[in-house]
Amino acid sequence: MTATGTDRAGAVDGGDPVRPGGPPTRAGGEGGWTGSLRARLTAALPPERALPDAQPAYVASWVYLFGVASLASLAVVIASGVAIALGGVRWWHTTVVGHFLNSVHLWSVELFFFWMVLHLWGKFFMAAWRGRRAATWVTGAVSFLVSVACAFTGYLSQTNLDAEWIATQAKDGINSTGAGAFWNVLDLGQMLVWHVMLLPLAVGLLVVAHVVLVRLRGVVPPIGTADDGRPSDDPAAWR
Amino acid sequence: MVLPFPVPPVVGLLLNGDGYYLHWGFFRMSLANLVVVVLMIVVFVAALLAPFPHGRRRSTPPGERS
Repeated sequence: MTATGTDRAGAVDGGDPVRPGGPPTRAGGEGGWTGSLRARLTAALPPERALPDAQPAYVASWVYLFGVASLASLAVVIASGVAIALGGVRWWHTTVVGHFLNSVHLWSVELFFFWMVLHLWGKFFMAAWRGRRAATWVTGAVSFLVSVACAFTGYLSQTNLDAEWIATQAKDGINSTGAGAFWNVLDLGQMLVWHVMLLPLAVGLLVVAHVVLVRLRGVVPPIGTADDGRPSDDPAAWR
Repeated sequence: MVLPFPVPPVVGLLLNGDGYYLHWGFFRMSLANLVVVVLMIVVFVAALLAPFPHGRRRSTPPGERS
């Protein structure tokens, strides 16, 4: 769309007066709620900080890779889960492709928890909640707990004797908490919907919030260094 | 299921048939879970001790490059 003339707020045809050649915008500021929101988002999380191409020197350790390994595993979990969902609730027992995707889903979940627990150990011993990073720590911990619930409903959704056995063993524990009144582990339909939609959605939103908070606050510096508790975008942390 | 490649017997012990459990008094744990826990500890310690390959270094943060 091409702007012509001058609109009521003073935008002039021919581009941004601040950025010659750029798209037409309102003179003197960001226009409308979209412009205001864009300005606030880019001020809170500039592009070079949202997608950095370098990290502080102290990040040069294998321990810092456990988080991204968890994310990579989660991507495979979601992709294989979506592929499995296409065929219904039993086909992975009877077809070669179903066996393969079932195994990919299982082992990617195993790896997801493997890396996530190592990530948790590393961040615990780093006291990674320092420097206004409490929300980062909490979203990570809660996403771990919700992932456990999601994996549990996955066991219940296998549509085999293993799922029936786990459900009958779990029902008494769940009922003792009172949650059994509305969360029935013997109800395959309910557990399947929780497994394929509600809990993955919760995990996904929590993980996105967790990663955004990591970008906002930066990777936690080592304990006892000059950068202790300082946001990692401080130039002193880059030496 | 027959796999198209040779499998060490220990893999069959861990993955096929009934689980093998270890007992220490009141504490009981499957061999498979113990192997995973030991593997996690080994990987964690290795990540702390193994040297990390260093790439390019720079002294200014992103956004301040000319």
